Amino acid sequence: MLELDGLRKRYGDRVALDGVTFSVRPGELYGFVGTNGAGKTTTMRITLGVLEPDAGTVRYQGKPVDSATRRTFGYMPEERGLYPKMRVGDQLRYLAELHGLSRGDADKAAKYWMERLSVAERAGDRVEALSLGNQQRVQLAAALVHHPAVLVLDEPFSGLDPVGVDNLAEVLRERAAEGVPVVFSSHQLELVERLCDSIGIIYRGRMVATGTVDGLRASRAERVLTVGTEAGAGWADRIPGVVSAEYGADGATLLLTPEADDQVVLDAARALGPVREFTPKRASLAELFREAVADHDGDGDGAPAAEPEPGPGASASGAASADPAASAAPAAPTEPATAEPAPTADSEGPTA
Amino acid sequence: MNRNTVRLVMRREFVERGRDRGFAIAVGISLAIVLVSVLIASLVSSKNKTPSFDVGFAGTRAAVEQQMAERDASAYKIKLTSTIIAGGDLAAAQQQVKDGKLDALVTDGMVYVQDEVDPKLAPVLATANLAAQVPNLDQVQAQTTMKLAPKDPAAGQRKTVALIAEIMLFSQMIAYCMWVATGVVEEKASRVIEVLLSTVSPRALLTGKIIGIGALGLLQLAATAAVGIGAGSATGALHLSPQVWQTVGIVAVWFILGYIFYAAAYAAVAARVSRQEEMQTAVQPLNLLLMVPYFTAFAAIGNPDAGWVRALSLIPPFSVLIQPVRIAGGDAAWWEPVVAIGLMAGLTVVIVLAGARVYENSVLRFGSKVSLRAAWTAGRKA
Repeated sequence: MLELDGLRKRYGDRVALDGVTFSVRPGELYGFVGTNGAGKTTTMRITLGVLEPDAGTVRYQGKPVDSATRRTFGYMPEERGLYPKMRVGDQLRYLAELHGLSRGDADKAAKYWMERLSVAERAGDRVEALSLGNQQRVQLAAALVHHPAVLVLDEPFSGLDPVGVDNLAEVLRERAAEGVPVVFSSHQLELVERLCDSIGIIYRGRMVATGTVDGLRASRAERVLTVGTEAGAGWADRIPGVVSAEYGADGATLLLTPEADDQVVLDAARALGPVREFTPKRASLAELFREAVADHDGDGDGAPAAEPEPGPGASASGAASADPAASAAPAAPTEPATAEPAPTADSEGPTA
Repeated sequence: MNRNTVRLVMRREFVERGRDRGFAIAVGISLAIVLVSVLIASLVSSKNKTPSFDVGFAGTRAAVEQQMAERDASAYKIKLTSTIIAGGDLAAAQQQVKDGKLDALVTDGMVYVQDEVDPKLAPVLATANLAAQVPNLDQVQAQTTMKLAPKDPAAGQRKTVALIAEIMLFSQMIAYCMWVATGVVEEKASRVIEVLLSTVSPRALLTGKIIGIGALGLLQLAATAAVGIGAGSATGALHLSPQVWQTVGIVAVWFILGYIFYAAAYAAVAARVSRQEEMQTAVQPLNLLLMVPYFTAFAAIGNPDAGWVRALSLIPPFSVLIQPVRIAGGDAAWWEPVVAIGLMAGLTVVIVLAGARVYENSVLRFGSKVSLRAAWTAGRKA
């Protein structure tokens, strides 16, 4: 398990990380999302030891990570970088050896990954002679060539064509299936939602939400329900738990409180006529992301001096803020395909 | 700092740079310079070569004159090839003089030449002519020369060797230090540095780079020395004296010391910028720090035993380029190079430590040039 615990980093007056804490289990694909400048790259650099944090630790298998352990990590930085004039094969062999592989193993691994990522026929070419897409593949091979025990990839999907995206997704799943904790950042939220077991949302140097997508859904403040009915406008206004309602020709879109019982709504609608559609609208990761960010808008807002030394663990604030345990727990029983929204206790008695 | 990673970095630098066209060009140029200077030297020395003459002797005094001429030839610094011409062949011999096959034909009291007697040959023939007419040859007393203030016959060669050593040292140091600087910026500009630093420490990276490129520099130095000495001794421009090998050793030692000193400084300066174009301006002060001692060295070569040369030859980093000038001087004390090397080594250690610190603190800061203060104090740990 890879654990990041209370990472803090300050560049001059600017606070880049303000207590970043999350963990990635073996075999877990962890999506790391956040706005530009939120602290993703800084977090990853610290994880790889490229940067040193002001405070906090990175642990792997329970032990603080040292440089020997880091050599077994694989890293793809956001700013792509390879020696432009070095030949692809030589470069991969070199990086593999730097990560501690023997010469023979490095050669085998380089060949394997060039084959696997379809750049084998360019092995003898200088990197600068390759197309950007192929350079990206070589970069990926560079992160994978030493069979890393942990994979940290900063924006690995950006710049890839759809085939490349599928190819990479497959590779990442495969690595995870072998028990490797995989962390990657991306702005392509659908992709993250589709691929990841867990996600973490970072905003202005703080983790504002972590957990599974379903867990985050379950923990959100409101739910949206679409009801197809011919009942007249205003029919749902007085149902307990309905925050607001929008009526159209085909029915209504209702906003419910987390505690609201949707079956009460269904009963009410059926009492007024046939119900052709009853759909809890699942929030996409993009929506969850926007909400999480909106909730924390203003946190640490360009005022670094405001909270000079917040205590450890005071990383996130606000309702949706969640340490991993809190947000992940209620999500467990939810199945994405069912119409049932995340179960919540019936607090309000149903009365029609 | 992991020794194995230093070795890997070193090997990469050596192999990749060695494959680079720039290396082939650099070696080509330095070999060309050495060959041309050897050629010039051999031309100059052939000009000073002892001239040789073919002279025929005929007539009744022929045998005595030949004997006298042969004896005096070396005293007059000429080489004489002489033949006795039988009386009947006189016309044929005159024809040979006309054709230029003989430089002179001497008969009793007569000298036949094409146009005029070579001034170097004339006194030999004149002396022989006179001596041959002395009845009792044994009574003629030979003259002996006593040298009262002899010149050092090797002084000229020493000066030449010092000059070549100077040029080699300077061009090698500036070329290989620039390579280090370019390499540092290349890693920064291409951002490969981030991948590298996730597995290699900055110090290991810097150490491997400096040693790898320096090894290539030594290789070029060795090749140049081998070709220069080979060509020099083949053309006769160079006498293979112990002094030549000593010079090669001195140049190698000073190259290693000077290269490490300057390379660490160049690397530190280069680490503060993110693009090659900025690097050119950033290293200007260092170029100057190399060029000033270099031009001073040229001034010093004419007067290698002057007090100011002796003083500068001990002071680092001047000593790198001034100490080898003392090769040209004849009376360097044994302790001079020892003290010079000791002082330079000490300063090199300081510069390497400071350079590594600046490098470490700057190499991951992209964008505008890292200020010296930030490079010194802040960086990865701040």
